[in-house]
Amino acid sequence: MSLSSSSAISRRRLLGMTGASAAAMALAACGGGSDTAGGSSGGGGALTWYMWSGSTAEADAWKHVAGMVTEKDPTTELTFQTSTFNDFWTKLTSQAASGKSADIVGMQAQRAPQFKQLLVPLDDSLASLGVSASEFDASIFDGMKVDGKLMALPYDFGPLVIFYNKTAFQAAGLPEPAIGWTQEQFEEATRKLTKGSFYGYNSGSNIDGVLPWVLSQHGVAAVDDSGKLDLDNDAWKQTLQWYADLVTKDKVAPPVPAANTAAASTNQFLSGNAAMTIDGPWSLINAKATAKFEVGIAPMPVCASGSKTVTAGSGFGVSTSCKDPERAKKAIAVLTGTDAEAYLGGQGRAFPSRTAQQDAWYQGNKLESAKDVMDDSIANSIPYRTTATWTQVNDTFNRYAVSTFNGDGSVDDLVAKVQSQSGAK
Amino acid sequence: MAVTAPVVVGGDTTATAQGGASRGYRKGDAKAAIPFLTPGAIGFLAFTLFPVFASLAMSFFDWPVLGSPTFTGFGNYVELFTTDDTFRTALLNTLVFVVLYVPINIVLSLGLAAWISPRIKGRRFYRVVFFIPAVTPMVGNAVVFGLLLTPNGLIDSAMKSLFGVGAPNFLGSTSWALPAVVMMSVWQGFGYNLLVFSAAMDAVPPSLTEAASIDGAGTFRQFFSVVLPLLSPSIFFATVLTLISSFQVFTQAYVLTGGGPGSSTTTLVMYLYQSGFQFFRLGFASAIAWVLFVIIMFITGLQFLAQKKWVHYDQ
Repeated sequence: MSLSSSSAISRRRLLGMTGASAAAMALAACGGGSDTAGGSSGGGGALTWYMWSGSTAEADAWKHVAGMVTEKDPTTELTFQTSTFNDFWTKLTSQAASGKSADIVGMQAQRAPQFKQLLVPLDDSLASLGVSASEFDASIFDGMKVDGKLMALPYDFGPLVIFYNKTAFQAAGLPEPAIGWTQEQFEEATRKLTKGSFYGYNSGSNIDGVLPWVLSQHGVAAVDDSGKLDLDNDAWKQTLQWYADLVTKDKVAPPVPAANTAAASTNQFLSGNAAMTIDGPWSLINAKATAKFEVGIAPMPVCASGSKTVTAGSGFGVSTSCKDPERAKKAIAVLTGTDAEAYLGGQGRAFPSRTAQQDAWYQGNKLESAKDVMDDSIANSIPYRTTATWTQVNDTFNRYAVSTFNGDGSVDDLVAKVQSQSGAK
Repeated sequence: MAVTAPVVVGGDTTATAQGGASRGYRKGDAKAAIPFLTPGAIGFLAFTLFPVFASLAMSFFDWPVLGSPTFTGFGNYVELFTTDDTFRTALLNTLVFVVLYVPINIVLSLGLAAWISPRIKGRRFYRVVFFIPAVTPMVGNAVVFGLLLTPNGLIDSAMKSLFGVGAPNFLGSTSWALPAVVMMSVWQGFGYNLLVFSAAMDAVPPSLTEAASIDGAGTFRQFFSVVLPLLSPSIFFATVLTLISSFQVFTQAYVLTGGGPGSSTTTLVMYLYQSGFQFFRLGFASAIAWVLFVIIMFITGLQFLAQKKWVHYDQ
């Protein structure tokens, strides 16, 4: 072996080899690997619990609640695993694909139909767990049911309401939105408040933000009685056109920046670029803490069909890959029990799904003034019904709504695309 | 010698693998080679070869994340090429991206490399500056570009105060979104090729350009007739890699636009991701991956064939 042998590889050949191997590497990089972040339960009473969280403080609150489970039953120990809300669903999916989901998983009511095969129905165990449906708000308890079966126990919920910039309303000398305010008052306020790059309303491209409007204007939801997606009707088209006109014709809402920003509307509102937006009570405490102005909430304005909204919420379910489902069921009964709910409510982490514990949320966070609005909105709300392909609906709507709301595409186009691309395949 | 030794071994193995071009092959070597090769081979089998064939197999199934797979034969491929509008759009978007991105990237990096090639002042500084985008995380860059390009963002506000007219809603408009993604990608990607070209230009013997100039060649003639042919191996290398990476474009579109508005920035890998991880159709996603693989393989193969015509190796 000598230098002559090595020089037998010509530069051309070496370059060719480098190119080929680089090409092969780049090609190989295309193949995805599977995610194995999920753990399965170990021996004894060890359970894993996978839940989203947005900050260390939030994760700590969940860990505190996990401690309550061990307090109640010292043989059970919960290991808390977490990721951000957006990553959560991707990871949960890949964990489910590999059959290695955590024993207890966080679940949003809207996504329950999609993950029903991952979850163990809880109906038969309620009595033995001492859980009574009547102690929960009915709309979210029902919202956790898929095909009549309870898939998760809810810990929080909330109606979508209007968040408004109190300071801006006062400065403009406008009456503040209150129970019973109307669509005309909403439209007038948006016109009067819009000035330069400050807009009366921030619409965003999310279907969540449109749904309460369709309900209030036409009394129609996104899903029909048989559980099918039903957007291709005049009710939806009229509301969507009205909504798009806020941006393109009346110019009281800013152009939608891009399809990837689900939290963008709230952020625009919080940074003082828009006077109103739609959000849920889960954002209220953060909104009050971050905004440099006073934040108020109001029910949906009264439109042709009244002031209507949807309740969305989340809970915990037991995954089908759990080796000790009875233990896991007991654990979620504690996680959504009275003590945990009072703690989460008082900490402002969740608007409790248990009606008796909701006072903890108002009192612990100085939100007594919001009680009337919340009660009114809850009374006028229906569960957020979705389909098994809701992620597709959400994603397709989000992408096509950007062009429709910005005036690049028609409402018919948006409805047709969402309806055709979101079919159960 | 320490440096050349591994090269010799590597060369020998390759030569053997390619049919015994090396005459110095001894039988005993195989026994010694096996234990050395096994760890790498296991990794290759488990993490590359197995997933590759698994995904090929999956592409013939309707494979949901939850529930059991059903065999559909070429069903996924038939759907891709006959009824799926989004796939056609994604394919077209990817091709447009490649056609815009690759030439702009190569010309820009080559041009800038030529500009900093003479011994200009602060040359090393420029090299570093141009290379910085290539080493910063793409997600971070994309987020910053998102803030720059958004309505009332830096570009929009600057244009309003300078010209009184705002910038287009780059990421929210169907006609601007893809060019915006290309622009961000070029900014991110040209530094790497610039470094390759810059190094290759340094290796051009000054005697050649001197000889050309004595023969009466001007600066441009020298560049196009002497320097450029000598750079052709580097250009080939850069083109192959840039082309492959541009077919796999994903991060920029994912962070900047989420594939929208509509499907105007949905690329093949973006659609693959959506199909697999948002829409839970793993078999369908695998089929997209294989279509992409075949396209990349074919075009890379073409490039290797065509290189005989235009790539000059200096030996």
